[in-house]
Amino acid sequence: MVKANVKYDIKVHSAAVKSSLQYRFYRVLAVLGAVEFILVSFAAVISAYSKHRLTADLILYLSIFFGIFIGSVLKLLFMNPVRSFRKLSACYPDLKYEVVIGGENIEYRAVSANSKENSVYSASRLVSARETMGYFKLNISQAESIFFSDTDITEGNADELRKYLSNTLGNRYTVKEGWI
Amino acid sequence: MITVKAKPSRESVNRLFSVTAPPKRTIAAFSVLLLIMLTALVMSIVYYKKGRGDLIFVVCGTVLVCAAVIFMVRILRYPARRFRVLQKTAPDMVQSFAFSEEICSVRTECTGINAHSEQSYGTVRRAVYKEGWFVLIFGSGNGISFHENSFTNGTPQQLSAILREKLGRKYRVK
Repeated sequence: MVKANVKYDIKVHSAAVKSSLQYRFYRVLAVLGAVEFILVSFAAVISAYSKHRLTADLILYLSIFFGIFIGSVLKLLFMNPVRSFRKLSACYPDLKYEVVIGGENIEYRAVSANSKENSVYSASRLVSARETMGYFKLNISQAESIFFSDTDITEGNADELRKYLSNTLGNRYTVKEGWI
Repeated sequence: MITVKAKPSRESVNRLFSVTAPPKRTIAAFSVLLLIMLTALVMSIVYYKKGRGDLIFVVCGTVLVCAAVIFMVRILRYPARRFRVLQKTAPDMVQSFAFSEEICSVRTECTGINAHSEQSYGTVRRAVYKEGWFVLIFGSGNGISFHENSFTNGTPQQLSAILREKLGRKYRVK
């Protein structure tokens, strides 16, 4: 059995946001937009020098990639963990939760000044799990996931949890080195 | 105490996503981008046919338009996809909601899940009553939606009065 006690602070929230699919998607999109913008800029410069003119489609492509880059950066700023944590902690002040993993069930108990939650999930309901930079993310469904750090584990240890997740999920348990 | 018992349906999932504004903004932004991409592609084809453009820009435009169309379709079909997955993974899911003067509680039950949460009205970010449907969005980003026919105790008018009193301007009747 592995037990983790988590105090949901800015550090955990920041890691949770950065590991989300949406955040990773927009980060990749921002990088792709910037790279493509630079490449098309080069193409535009070469075209302007060799043909002594700049075609309208090149200008449109430049604006598209610039738009993708700026849009993605704005979206990332909008998803800024500090900003979203401030909003979340206003609704759920002093959020703490306990996760018990082992055997047939996964138990999740959360308490904040404004709420409390008690959930029991069968281990078979686990969709996938991901370990990144010392954080575990257990995806219960498309909308629900449990997030905690290996330092939050108070009973059992991270290796025990890794073994459990590998046995339960097989290749749906993935370990990544970076946030992407 | 007002109680509601509901089974997730395609309509309830659609209603839930109709209240969250960010997808609408994303769709609007991508519609504009898609229009610019189509214009760029048409121009690239015209220039290429006249021998003044390069094939790489026709390919680039086609890839961009295809990617944008796929992304748009995925966004538009997201509620339907969510419901399909929900039906596949939890066909027997039943949700019970209880609203008192101080808290609202949500119980979700299906094979393999038994979840119960109690939240004060301070955690509700937004609530809407529209065309017989109640939608509540919580601070965590999760939400609930149910039709006025699902009430097992109390009436929609009573719930409406509680939400108006507790949420003030965060509650809207459309």
